[in-house]
Amino acid sequence: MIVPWLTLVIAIPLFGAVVALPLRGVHNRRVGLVTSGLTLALAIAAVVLSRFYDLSEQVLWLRSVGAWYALNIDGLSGSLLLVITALVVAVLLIRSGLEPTATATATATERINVRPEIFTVLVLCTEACISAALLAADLVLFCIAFEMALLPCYALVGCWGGAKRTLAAARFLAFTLTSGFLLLAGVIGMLTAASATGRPSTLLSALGTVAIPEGMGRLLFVLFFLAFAIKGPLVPFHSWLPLLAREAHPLVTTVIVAVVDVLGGYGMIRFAVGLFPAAAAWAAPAVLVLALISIWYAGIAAAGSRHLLQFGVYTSISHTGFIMFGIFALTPETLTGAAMYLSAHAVSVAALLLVGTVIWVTTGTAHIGEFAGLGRRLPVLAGLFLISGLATLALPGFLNFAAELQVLVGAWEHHRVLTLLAIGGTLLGAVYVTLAYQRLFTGQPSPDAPPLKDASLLQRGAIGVLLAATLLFGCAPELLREYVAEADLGTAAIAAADAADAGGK
Amino acid sequence: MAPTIEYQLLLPVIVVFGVAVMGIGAEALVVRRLRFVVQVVLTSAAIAAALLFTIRNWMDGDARTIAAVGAIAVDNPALAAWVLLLVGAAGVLVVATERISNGGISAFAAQAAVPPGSPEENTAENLRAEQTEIFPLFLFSLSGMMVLVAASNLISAFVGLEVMSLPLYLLVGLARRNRLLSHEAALKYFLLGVSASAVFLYGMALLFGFAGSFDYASIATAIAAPHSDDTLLYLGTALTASGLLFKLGVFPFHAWMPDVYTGAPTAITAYLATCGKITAAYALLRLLFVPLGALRWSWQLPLTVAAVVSIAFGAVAGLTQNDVKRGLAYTGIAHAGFLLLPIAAAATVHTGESVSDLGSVSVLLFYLVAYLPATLGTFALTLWVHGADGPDADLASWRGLAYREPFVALAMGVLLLSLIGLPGTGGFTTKLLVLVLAWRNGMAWAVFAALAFTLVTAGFYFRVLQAMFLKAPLTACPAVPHSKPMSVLVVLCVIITVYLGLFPTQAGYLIADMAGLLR
Amino acid sequence: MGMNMLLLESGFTRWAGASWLVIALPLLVAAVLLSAGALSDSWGHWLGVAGIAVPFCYSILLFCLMLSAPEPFTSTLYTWLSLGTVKVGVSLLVDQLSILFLLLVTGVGMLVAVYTVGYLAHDAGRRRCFGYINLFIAAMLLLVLADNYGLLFLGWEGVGLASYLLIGFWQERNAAALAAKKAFLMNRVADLGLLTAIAVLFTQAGTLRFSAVPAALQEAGGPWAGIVGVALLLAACGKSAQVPLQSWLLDAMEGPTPVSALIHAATMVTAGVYLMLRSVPVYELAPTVRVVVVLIGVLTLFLGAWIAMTERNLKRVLAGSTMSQVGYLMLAAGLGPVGAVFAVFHLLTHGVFKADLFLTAGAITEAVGFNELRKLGGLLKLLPWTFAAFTCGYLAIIGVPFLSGFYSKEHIIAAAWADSPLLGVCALLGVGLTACYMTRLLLLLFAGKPRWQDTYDTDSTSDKHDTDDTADTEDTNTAADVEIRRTPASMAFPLVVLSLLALVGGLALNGWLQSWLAPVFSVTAPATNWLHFDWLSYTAIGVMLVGVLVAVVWYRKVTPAWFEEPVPAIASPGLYADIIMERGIVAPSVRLTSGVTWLEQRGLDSDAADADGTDGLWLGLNGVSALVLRLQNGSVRTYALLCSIGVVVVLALMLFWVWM
Repeated sequence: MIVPWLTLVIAIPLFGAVVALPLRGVHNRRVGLVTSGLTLALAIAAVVLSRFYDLSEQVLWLRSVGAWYALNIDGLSGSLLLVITALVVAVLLIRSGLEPTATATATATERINVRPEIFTVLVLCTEACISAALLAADLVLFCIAFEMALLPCYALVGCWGGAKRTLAAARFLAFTLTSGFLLLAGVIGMLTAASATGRPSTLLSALGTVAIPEGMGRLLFVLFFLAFAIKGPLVPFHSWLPLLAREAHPLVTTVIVAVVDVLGGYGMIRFAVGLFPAAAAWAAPAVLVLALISIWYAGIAAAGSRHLLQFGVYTSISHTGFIMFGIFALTPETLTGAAMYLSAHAVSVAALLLVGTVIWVTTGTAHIGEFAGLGRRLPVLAGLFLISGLATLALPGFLNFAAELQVLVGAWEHHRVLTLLAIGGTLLGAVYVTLAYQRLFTGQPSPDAPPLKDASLLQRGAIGVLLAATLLFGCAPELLREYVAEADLGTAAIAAADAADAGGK
Repeated sequence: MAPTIEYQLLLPVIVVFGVAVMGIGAEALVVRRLRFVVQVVLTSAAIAAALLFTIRNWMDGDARTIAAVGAIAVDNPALAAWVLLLVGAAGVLVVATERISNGGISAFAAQAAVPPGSPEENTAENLRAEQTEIFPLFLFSLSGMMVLVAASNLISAFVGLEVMSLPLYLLVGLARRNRLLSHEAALKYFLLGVSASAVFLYGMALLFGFAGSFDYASIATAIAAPHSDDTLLYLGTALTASGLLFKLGVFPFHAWMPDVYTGAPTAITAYLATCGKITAAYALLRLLFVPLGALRWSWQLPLTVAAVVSIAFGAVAGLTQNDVKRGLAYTGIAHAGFLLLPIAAAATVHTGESVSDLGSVSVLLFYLVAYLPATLGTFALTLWVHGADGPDADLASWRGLAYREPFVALAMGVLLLSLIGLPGTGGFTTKLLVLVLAWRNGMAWAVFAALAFTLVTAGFYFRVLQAMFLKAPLTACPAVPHSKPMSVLVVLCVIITVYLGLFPTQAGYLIADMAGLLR
Repeated sequence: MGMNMLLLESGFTRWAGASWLVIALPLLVAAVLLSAGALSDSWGHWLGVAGIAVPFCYSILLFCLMLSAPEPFTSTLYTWLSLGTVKVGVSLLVDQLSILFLLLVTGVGMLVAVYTVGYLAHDAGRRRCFGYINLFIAAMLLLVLADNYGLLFLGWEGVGLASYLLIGFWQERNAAALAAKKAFLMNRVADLGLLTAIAVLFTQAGTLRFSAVPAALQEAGGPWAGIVGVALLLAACGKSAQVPLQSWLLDAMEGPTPVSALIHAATMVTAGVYLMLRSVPVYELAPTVRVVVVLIGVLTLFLGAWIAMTERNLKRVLAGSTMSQVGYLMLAAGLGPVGAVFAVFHLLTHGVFKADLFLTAGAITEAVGFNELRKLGGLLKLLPWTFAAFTCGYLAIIGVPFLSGFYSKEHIIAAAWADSPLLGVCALLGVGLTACYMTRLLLLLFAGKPRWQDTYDTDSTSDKHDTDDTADTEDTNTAADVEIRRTPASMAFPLVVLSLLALVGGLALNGWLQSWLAPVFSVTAPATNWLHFDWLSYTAIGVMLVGVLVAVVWYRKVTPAWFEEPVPAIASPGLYADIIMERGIVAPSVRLTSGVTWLEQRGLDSDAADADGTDGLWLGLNGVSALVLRLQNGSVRTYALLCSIGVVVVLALMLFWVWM
């Protein structure tokens, strides 16, 4: 292809970030919006074109280990790319309504006079890194993009936020850096295995054919799994996210949960299960149990959480558990379902967190009381919260349900009891959404409460469009299912699982 | 028949050594007022000329022989090392001549011989006297390094080692501020340095005892030939290797580095951290690969253990440092460990390297190419950013730097990221190569340990980054001086680091061809 | 004749093809009403009524066309989702059974909508209520028209959501919010059953279409039919408020009365029974599960009756009665194809007269402003017309001969008797109990003199929530000044229609329904002409009269003091169901949640910041770092010692290989 579409999708946000850096005030925000809008258009164009032309690009990057600058787009990465570019546009739209100064969240002990315009720059850089990671068709390039996403996020968390934002930033850094280095260890192991056979190449297409001894395959799988489990996050490795939700600026939390953490699930499908099918089949039962723990533990924590953003974050952890359950059930339906669930969950949790952001900024507090009676004072926000809550609990008619149905129905074949527990897990969704809605919006508002300004047209539009998309794809999920299934995810792993299963029976 | 000396090949060393001697002459003859300018011009001319000749030798491909009757092996790695040393020396020179950052006076002591706190010292200070004998000393040690790096004979190696070390002992003691600390550092460095040279000498004697000759090639043939008792060989190898390990600053022999790095003037610390390590690494590589290549399976284990332990020690010790220079010294030990890994991996160098194959020499060279700008840049910036009076630099003066000096903070940030090895910087590419090389040669456990402790080094580096970007300044900090040459140096370092991080392809080809060791 | 038959023929297929409009229109209206905000307040409710009236007319047209050419028509719009080989299609089936439900839902829905126009006349949120009602109608029609379990599940959850929104309509009142949450969660518990059934059907049967499932299950064999049966039963129990999951229906009375009439009497509770009707062939394959269905039906029958006997709130008595009548439906549905036909018959008649009773209850509340039986009484003279409407419903439900209730229930008793005598006795006992509690309600409402004149304190909440009265607990109308508000026309018209239907419905359907539903259940249920009485119907009438007599004896003279006596524990309504759920499920989960939250909170605040506030990474390693730094004590002696040890170690490690 003459036009390097995929490189453009990565380059435009970076270019926009550089242009937006020196600008002030509304110009900066306008450039941010134009850039992210352009990137979204490009992403759509890339997805559409990729159905007819081969958009892959390949340039040798480092000969001695056979690393390439290779990009390619398929069902899985295409759908996720659309989602994250759309979410960045939504975040920047919502942001132009409210200034991400630290005051909005808490009184920071020592306030650093960082210009709010830097927020746009950092979000665009994050978007570039994440799209690069999604489009990477080379293991080393994915590892580079995966770790480079860490820096803008660290700055985002550290600059705006509550009193202990540096603590939250430090813990986020500790976990994400460890995840990055675990991935690096896995990549190095993979490079060693690949370079043993003549001219090494870390292209995904080439890596598929590398014969890895079983022991090493399991070791590398564990490394990849841990890296993506921390990024997911799955329960035992999740303690950085709730702290971040409480301390960081709500928009930053939205970006990290909805845009960055997509890499966890994506990496698990593409690399952990993709490159090490036998090891994935071997580890599947253990991971399924871990996923179930994640679903139930995070679900209960969401029901009990009294902070608006932490509530959204716990729902995200619970859904990540669900996605991992789908991935490691290792049947064609569950893998496609998990892939669809990734994009559905990103959109629904983003909507939930954006509503939470607007409520936090409008009412000035993120505490979830008892019968706070906000429904009367903020009817539109109450409606939006309810709809995004329903999307989160996978009410049929939303895309989440179509994905969840595939995961549950597909997993029934091999893991009967575990699937029953997972079906029980979906009930948790209903519990924590209705509980949160009841605590926030029902009940009599205190008579002397000051009148609150409801969501502005801009905010309604941004969140409304996201929910409309989920609803649209919820009513016709076949479109997305076909597109994602084209990427025939984890076929080797499925075969390995069936073999293991057949052996087991 | 008379020994033939390939002068043309040895021109770089000759030029450096010659200009050093001229420097002493200039020291005696030139009037005090002009002396600083003359010395600087002389030194920079020497370095530029040497660099020119080296590149000329590099250009005509067949000018590769064991020159000077077997004393110096002018081969690809040697030429590459010379280029690295000369570039490093040029950078250090820029840092050394930096005067604006401490009130328009050079960072070196007014009069070296005067005891600290004595009235003579006060007069020298008031007169704002500057002494310039540091430049000839600097060039002498540089020539010693160039000889040591390319030595293919134990005698010439020892000569190179001594010519390098002695001027350095002096240079370490010449800091203008808190001279006592500087003197103490110089004394420590001298005592330990000399004992290390003694160990090296004793090892040489034993090797001579075993092989009957000092020449690397004949030692190799002696080892290959059937021999009855080889205790002399093992003892000799251990001692000579330990001598060089001391210079590299690997764990058991690292103890001097933190004190010397903080005591010495920043320019000399940078010199030690860059050129010092490059020389030690190359000398060790040549010593272990050319003559003692056959003993590979015996010295591989100690070196790997030493490398891993020094990464561990450097990381853990560096974690709680509040002084940036001292922190960089400790994490420098970790980098010494990383330099040792490719040597320990001992992918023994055969003359022609197959392009795709990862060789110890090319990986070490690539790592040094990325390590040089990062270390040079960070030490240069510590010269700019330091407390008004207290110890040279503590985190207090770094807090909120991003909001006072955005470009300085950005430069320091990129260089620190390269030292951690985060992608987008040279550090990542080279760490990736080193670790792949190590894993391929059966040192998987070392790779995991190295990665884990690199993670820990990130602890210190991110505390500096955090102080710069996420913290507000507590106390009023002095303004950061902007001097032209230093800014150029820092910008160059950042550009090289980012270039190696994002577009290492060309560098990869170039360096892969520089790997053939001459026997 | 042939020509217009042909015309009608093609007409039917053409019209049936547009069945998706029936769902799309109310959905569109709901979307418009909910998103239009305040500006649609003036005309919003009429749009809401139109949103239901048009589908009603469409259903009538379809029904007439179908009368002449009764064979099912399936219109497939698109594939919703393909799970491996199984294609879950958005395909709508219009057959004899679904057209009846179409008529019931849209008919009662329209009448309730008209009624709501009057009932919520001065409630600010009326537009929102109409939006939710239209959403409910759309979801219910999707449920009824779906031709496979996947699409049915979509409608199923939509109905659950609509009931959540409608119960919690007055969300300012905490009780309503809690009731809505309870209803939604219990429905979700039930939906897990349907989800499991779908999962099993996908893996074992490989199809989800109603028509194909029985054959596939037959061929799959093994316990699968039974498992699917149990799963579907769990789903039905949740939705139709049967024994294990029935306590939400009583709290659902917090919603506005017309909503209770439409959803919690006529349509939604019958959704569970509809699922049973569609899965009758599945239960044919698993007779043991069929017995369980019957058992649950009987149990709920008696529990509902007991609640109706002991409840002291007008709407909750009717809710108990609904639970008991739906128990009848479950019992009938569990008796196989024949029972299913009679279940449909009773379902239709019950939908009509129960809606009539609820709307009269609404009229009473509208008139006096509260619905506590303790304060009501003596309304005969005050509200004659309401009394007339109530009596029509009353006579129909207790099964007075020639009225709708008698015919539909009589068939069920006959079918039950045919199945097993014990079952027949239970059904008969049910008739007696129904008669007893309905008469009690009649007497408490209309007999004697109005008790609200004697009472002094007013503690209970009034069902009717006037937006203008501030706190909802305090009830201003003291005894004297309760003026009776006249029932507006828009509320009277539906009452009249429903009362007539309640009287004449049974006669109309009696003979015709059996033949109409024959093709659906592939069995011709025995049709008896309207005058045919056998010994069973006589015993039924006898039991009914006994029930009435007992109630009259007990409740003839009821004074307010009677209400003050403490109620024995056993007589508490709901038979401890709420207490069991409270202590058995809610309390432990609250403890578990607080435990997890405590654990998480502890995790969040664990690492304290560094001394100088630069809270860096790996704070745990600071100790180790200090320990290691002791090695750097600055004395050259130590350094030299370290170097020499280093040399020795290097040598030792080198020689290590030699000794190996």
